[in-house]
Amino acid sequence: MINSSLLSMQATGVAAAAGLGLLFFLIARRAAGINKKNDISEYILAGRNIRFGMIASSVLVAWTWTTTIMGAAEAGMWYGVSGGISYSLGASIPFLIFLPIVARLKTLMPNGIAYTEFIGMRFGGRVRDVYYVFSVLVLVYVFIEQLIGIGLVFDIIFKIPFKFIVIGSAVIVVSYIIRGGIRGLFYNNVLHFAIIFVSLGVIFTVLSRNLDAGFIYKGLQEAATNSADPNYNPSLLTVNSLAGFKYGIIALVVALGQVLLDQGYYSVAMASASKRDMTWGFILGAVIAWMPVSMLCANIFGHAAIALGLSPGEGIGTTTDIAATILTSYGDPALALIFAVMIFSVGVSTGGNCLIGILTIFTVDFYSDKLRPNAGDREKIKFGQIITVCIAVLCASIAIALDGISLLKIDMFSGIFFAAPCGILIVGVYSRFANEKVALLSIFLGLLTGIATWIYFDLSSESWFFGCLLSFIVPILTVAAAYPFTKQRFNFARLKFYKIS
Amino acid sequence: MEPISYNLFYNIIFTWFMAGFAAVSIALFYGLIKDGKRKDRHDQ
Repeated sequence: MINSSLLSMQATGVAAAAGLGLLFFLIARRAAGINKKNDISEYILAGRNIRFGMIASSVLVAWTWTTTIMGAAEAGMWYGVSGGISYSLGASIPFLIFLPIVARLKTLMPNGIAYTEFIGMRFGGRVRDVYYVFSVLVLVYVFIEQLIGIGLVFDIIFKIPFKFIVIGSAVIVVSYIIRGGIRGLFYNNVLHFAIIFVSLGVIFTVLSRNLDAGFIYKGLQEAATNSADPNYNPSLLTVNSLAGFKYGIIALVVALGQVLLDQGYYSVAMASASKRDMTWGFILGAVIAWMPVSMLCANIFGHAAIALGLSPGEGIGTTTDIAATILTSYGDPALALIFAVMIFSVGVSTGGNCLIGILTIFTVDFYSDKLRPNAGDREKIKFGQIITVCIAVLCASIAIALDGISLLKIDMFSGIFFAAPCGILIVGVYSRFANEKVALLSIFLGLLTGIATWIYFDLSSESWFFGCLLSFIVPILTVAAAYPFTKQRFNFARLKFYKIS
Repeated sequence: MEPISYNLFYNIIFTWFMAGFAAVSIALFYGLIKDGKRKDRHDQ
């Protein structure tokens, strides 16, 4: 016999996702109507005319991942007060490194759009090929994480099969991005911003009434002093704990790779009306407005979990389940629905940013670089759209295959893997000295030392810390060591005359 | 960290969260008004 309450629960979830998906598509269709047809500068850059408010809302929702909500909660549970602070600082500082880089790229290469174009001009074709791989992999990795996040939450709250919601979410994101281009992304991100912030405001207000700060503080104090507590950690109430600081460094290196290699952020920056709009948009969105979101998630979910005596095996399966468990136990069904809609919006908006990155690389750079140098805009856009659909299908398939597998090791590996190419990108933007051979060697050495350290020291979180640091620092040291042996000096003036073929 | 400062810490973050929301909303409206004015000038 079919359970009618299960059916109505599933129908609610499907209706919420389908209704929002339709709304996103209609907004993208409206945005597409403003674009000139088959014009890359409109489709990929929105005429380079976006003001700082839209830049801020776009960066804010793109940087708020499904794992921001759950990851910050985990950091709060593991490291106490310093966890949330370290997580939010570590994930915001990379944008303060990214901004001067992208501002310099805009000055050096006014007609450039994709950072792989700059890499190609600066270091040559082979290094550009390496960065194609890194940039596509980072976008695929982030998109898969969002699909898994949405799938898990809808599975827990609405009992909708994981596969079904993963495929549905991928279809929704790809359809609105293909239809509206980057203008569709910007317009939809305003709606995502409203959904995410209103939902978070309601969730935080209701939960803080049920679990007030005094109760949470008492729980933290108990866990910090009672060695029999499952979450015993003497530094839970210490703002400047060493473990929290180390975690912050890891968060910074991991986030740096995710920001510097994600073409989606470059596309948003290049679409801004001016450097001032870009700078203030990114600072407002990724730093000022984003930081308290992760800190509140650490406080409300992570610290509350400690106060409630939850720990892996006692009330929760893994620390990733904290937010959903607390909401279902201490909220009401309406709050769970609000949480699910918010997670859907969080995942879809970040996924949209990933697909815009893929669309940009394959429309602007890859097709004319590898296949047909003199292709027209219409042909390039078509190619970009086909590849974007193919990659979205691939991501949905991988996400389904990863159902039930812990993402912790993949997260650890990705931190080390994506840190290696960051140093060369930074050096290449500011220095005339490194050349193609040095760039390839340094990335290889960074990857080798990072992964070897991680594997050699038993894949622990301590080895992860040193693996991430080495993967980032070794390429920079390699460039410095090769300095006396490289005679070539790059002439940045060449970039001024760069034009998309 | 003392109870009073934990309470204060939580209230500061929540106020910061609300201020961030308000700041982005104002920035969005400011952009809309500016774009509207530019469109009016263009139409004239």
